[in-house]
Amino acid sequence: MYGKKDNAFSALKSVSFKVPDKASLAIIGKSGSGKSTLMHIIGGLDHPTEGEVIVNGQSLEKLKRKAMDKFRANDLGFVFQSFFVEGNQTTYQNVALPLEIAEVSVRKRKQIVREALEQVELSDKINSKAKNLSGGQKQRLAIARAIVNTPKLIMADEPTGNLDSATGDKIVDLLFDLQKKTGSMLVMVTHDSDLAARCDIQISLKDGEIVSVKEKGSKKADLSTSVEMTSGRLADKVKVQG
Amino acid sequence: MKVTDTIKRSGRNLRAAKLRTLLTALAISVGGFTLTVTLAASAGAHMYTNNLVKANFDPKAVFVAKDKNYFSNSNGDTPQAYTSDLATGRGGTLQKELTSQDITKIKALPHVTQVLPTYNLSAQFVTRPDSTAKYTGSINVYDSAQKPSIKAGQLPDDLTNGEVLLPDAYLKPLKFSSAQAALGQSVVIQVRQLSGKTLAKTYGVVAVTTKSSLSLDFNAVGPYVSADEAGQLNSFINGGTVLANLVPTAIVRADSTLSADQLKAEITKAGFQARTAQDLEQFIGQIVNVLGVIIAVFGLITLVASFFGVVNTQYISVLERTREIGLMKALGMSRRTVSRLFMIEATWIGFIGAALGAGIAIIAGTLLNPWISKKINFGNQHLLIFKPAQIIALIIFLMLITTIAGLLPARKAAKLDPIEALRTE
Repeated sequence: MYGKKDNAFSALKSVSFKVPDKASLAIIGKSGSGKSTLMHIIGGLDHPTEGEVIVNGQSLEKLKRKAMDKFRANDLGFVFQSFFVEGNQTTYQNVALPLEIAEVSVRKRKQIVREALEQVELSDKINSKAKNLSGGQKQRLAIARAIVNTPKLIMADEPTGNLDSATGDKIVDLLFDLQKKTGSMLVMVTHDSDLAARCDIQISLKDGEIVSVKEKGSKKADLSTSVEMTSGRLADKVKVQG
Repeated sequence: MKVTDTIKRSGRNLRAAKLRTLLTALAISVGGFTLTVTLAASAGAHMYTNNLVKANFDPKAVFVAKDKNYFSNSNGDTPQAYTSDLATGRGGTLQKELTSQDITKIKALPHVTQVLPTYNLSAQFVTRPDSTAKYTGSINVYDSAQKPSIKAGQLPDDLTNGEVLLPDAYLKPLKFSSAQAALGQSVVIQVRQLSGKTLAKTYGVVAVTTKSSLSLDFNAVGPYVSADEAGQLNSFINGGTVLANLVPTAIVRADSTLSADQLKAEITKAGFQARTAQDLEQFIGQIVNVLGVIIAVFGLITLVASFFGVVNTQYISVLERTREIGLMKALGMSRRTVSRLFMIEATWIGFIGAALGAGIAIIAGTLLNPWISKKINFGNQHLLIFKPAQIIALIIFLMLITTIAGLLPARKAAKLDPIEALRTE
């Protein structure tokens, strides 16, 4: 629920879905459809005014702030449209941030960051200032930052929105590649239907409601019950009821 | 996030905004500079007064007077009751003075070894035999425990009657070619009664004294004679008047079994006013302290200004970095860590400012010390004495101040909503 009194509106109304293990999920819709809000709620950044999000049988709403911080630090990776890399810091320092937050020791950190940068092919830029990187490199850096803590869930908010199509395609390839390699679940918010078509499941939102669901392959979304997302590694349900 | 990582990250954030960090730190450094100089000047002034008192007052000696107003400065707005020991005839405020009976009484106190009256005598003039050059001078009593600095000759344990110590200020007026040349020569001291009768006595110069930077001018410049000789001159000058029997003060010493404080207690018990060198040192020390406090207050006022400077800078920094804060929170950084990150930045600013201010103060002070000493006649002594412990304490104090200044902006950062923060472009 956003705004106050007369201006109040609900970004999400009734959203229910269940996603199987290791699936990739695209949430598509025009701006104002509530797709970002849904992602924020799944990521524990936002709280629904009604309904709840359940992780490990534990409602995110009932999580204490510290436990929520821990959930974000350990189980989530974020990739944003405008990268959100710290230009004045080096590639290494940017990628190391989630590990610092998760209190990983310095020695382990170095190794893990190197591995993550290898995956996104940025090893040669490890000591470059992030502001000196190209757009595609910045997004690859952001992806390295998102996967460095081996999250169970990678959240990508318009990951190609600020990139030209050629670079964007490469970034998307990389994301799906990594998702397959790590067995994480990928939740992508986009308005790009080509990109969405690459996901196992596409959920289209309009005015806060699901208007269509497309599935491909064996992975099916189940709309019969309340919203649930399961991932093999998460082994739990993320349930969203708006 | 671990505290060490937080410290490193906040340090890096400051390096990323070098100019702003430096400018804010400079504001703090003004306070740091002022307070460092204040502490150093205060330490130097204390050491100087210590040395001053040590050079001019024998720590074993007790200064004795009779009037209770002698050591305080209150002259009294109401008239004093008359007593026969009031020193009528000296002019100024009438005060009770020590009579010869008092001197005898003090001498008879247990363990007292020496009572040295101070007479306050002036010569009519000082000259040389067969010379027309005549100069004024006070007649000072030679105190072997409080030896003046010498330029030529040897200081005896005690002067005998007929011997004199001549200050180097008389060399030229009395036409001695050098200090060495004056040794063994005769000088004439003539004194005069109120009635006009004069007495001229000839003395042999045993040593030439000089003024050290630490000597205080209690008396006008003049030759030193023995206590006995001064007594005789006093008898002549004040002969036939009430003053012949009175001395304003006396220096009293005891044997080693009594400390100055114990001796002071004894003398006070006998009904006299007494002060030790330590008392005087404390008195001067108080004045120095008051001056130090005044300067320190100015330093603290500049600190208040820089305090708000840090609040302002950090607040703007939080606003500028809203997106970064949002990202860090989205990545699971706790409120406490976000808050700590900004607090530690403020602490760093405090450290840089304090170290800068103290550093500049130490460098400038060390360079200027010789010049300052020369200007204010400190001799070899330095006005600014930098004590490492004090400076470290000051730096920690300033770090504490800026940390407190960082509190409000840090709270603001901690409370930022990550979604709102991430929307900021």
